[in-house]
Amino acid sequence: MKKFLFIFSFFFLILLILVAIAPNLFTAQDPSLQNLDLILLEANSEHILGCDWLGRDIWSRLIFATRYTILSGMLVSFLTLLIPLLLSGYVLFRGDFINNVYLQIVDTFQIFPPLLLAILISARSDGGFLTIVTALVLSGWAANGRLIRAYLLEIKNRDFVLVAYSLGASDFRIFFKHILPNVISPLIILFSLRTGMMILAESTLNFLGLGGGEDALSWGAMVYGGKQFIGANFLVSLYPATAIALTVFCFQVLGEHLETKYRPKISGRLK
Amino acid sequence: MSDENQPPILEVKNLRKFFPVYKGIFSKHVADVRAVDNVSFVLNQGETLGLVGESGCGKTTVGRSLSRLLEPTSGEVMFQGKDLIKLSSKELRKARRDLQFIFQDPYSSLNPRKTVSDLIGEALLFHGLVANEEQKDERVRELLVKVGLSASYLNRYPHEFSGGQRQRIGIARAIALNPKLIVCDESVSALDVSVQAQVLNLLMDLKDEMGLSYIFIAHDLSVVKHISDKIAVMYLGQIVEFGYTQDIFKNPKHPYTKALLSALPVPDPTSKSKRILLQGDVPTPINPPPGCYFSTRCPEVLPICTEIPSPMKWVSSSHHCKCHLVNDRREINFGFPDDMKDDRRASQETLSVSDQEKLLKQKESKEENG
Repeated sequence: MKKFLFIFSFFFLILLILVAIAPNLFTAQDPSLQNLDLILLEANSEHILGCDWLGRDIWSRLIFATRYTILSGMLVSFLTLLIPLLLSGYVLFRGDFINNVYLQIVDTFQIFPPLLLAILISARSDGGFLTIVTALVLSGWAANGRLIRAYLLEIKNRDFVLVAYSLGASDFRIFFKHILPNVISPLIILFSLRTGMMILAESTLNFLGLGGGEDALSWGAMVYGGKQFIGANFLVSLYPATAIALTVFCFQVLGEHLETKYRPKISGRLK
Repeated sequence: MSDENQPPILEVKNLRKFFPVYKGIFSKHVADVRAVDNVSFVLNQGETLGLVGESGCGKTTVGRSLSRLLEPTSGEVMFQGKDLIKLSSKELRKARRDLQFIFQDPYSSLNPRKTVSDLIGEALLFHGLVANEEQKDERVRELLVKVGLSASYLNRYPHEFSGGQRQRIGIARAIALNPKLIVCDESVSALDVSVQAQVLNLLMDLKDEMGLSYIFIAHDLSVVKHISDKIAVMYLGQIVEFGYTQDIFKNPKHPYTKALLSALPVPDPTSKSKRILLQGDVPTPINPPPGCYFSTRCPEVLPICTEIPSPMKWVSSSHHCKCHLVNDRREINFGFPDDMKDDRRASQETLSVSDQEKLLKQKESKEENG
């Protein structure tokens, strides 16, 4: 069953990425074409999932919103790993004082519940893709701050790093050539797990109307727009909500699969 | 063997490494762990110095402080005429080319993500000793053959090798830069005995071939006896006895050295070994005893030993010992040759006259009683 879930998730995510790259291959409809006659239309052969409150084709909107969701999720997840990686990589070679400053900054960011911080940041500006990404990166990077520092510290204390020093290698070389290759696999696992969470957070922000309102081409915004008509046609909200749930689920399954496979001791699932 | 006329390759003077102990919410500095406490020694070109002592006595810390893998608290490390302690980090990186390490654990000292070619040849590239990958591979092949491995192992990963083979890779890496001095930190203690002998012989062959000097850190006395020209016996961060291997083994002066040597198994079932069993534990290096550090366990302890530490005394010009029971023959037999007055080997510290009288009296009364 676990294996089936993994295979399913893997191919589903491949499919999603294909959709994100070339949405035109999957739908012939224009996602922003409004048609008064088709408002809250039930599914038919031309509009396979029906139409929303402005008469736009739901299927094509789902397809075109995939790019936004996948891109923002992966970008945010990547940046929330990259920032603490570079920062803790830097403080790794500095003294106790700088290390403590770094940890204090991480802790300060972690005082705020991440979503609350993201809402605060995005509510201050006019919304849009970059706002959402910035808000999520600023609120999310600290959660990885200590973890990634711990990964790096563990590798840095191995003998081969000492050997590299004794050979006359510079700090820069030691970080990029000796330490980094040894933390890549836990980082990939973290990336997969984080992407799912970040897609959820991005959808939440859009659902709250902070990402450019109900007309933004995002799954979260589609749920947000559809909720006003939930009595008339709840499917308008249900389709994008299902897409979000499925995507997050698949990233989670993938991440957990990688974790059991490559770090069985740490994830505690060694039989 | 060594050439006494050449300037020594390494002179260590008063090397100290203290690890601070912090306590309380304000991280108040309360004490120091005196891992290395005033260690001085001299190593000539082409010599092997064996550094022995029980675990926790600071052998490894001495080795690592030499090239500042651990920053020493104070002291001088004159290596090829330069004080390593004073070098900037850039100069230090250059100087480290000539001072290489072979570590204890052949498993953790090889980066699992690198091929043999990268492990051995990386430093060649970034020190500019070879121009490109082809030259590097060529050189690595030579080195592999030199340490008794097949040149075809070039693109393998460390996990494909046995412990002995891995240690050979570590040796190839250390000699790749044509160093002058190699610090072998328990380099053979993780290997089984037959492989130990092979690796030791390899090290000795390389020494003759490349004119290397070694600092050989070990706790196995038979290994040290096999490979070393000189031996330094360490106890609680200090060198308590220093001399040529044969002098130390035939004529140990310090009670600690005697006890250590008595623990060596004798390959003769009929011989009755007079094993000296030491009582008690090693005192904590945070708060060592006031006098001689060994006084708490010494079977031949005098009252003065618990009050005043002994200076380094000369048993002969090349055999030094830090013990009150030993007669300092430096002034009587050797004098101070003019050119040796500033020699760091001639320790400046001596006992005060009153202490010397006290010591003499205590020795006499001991002889009368026993």
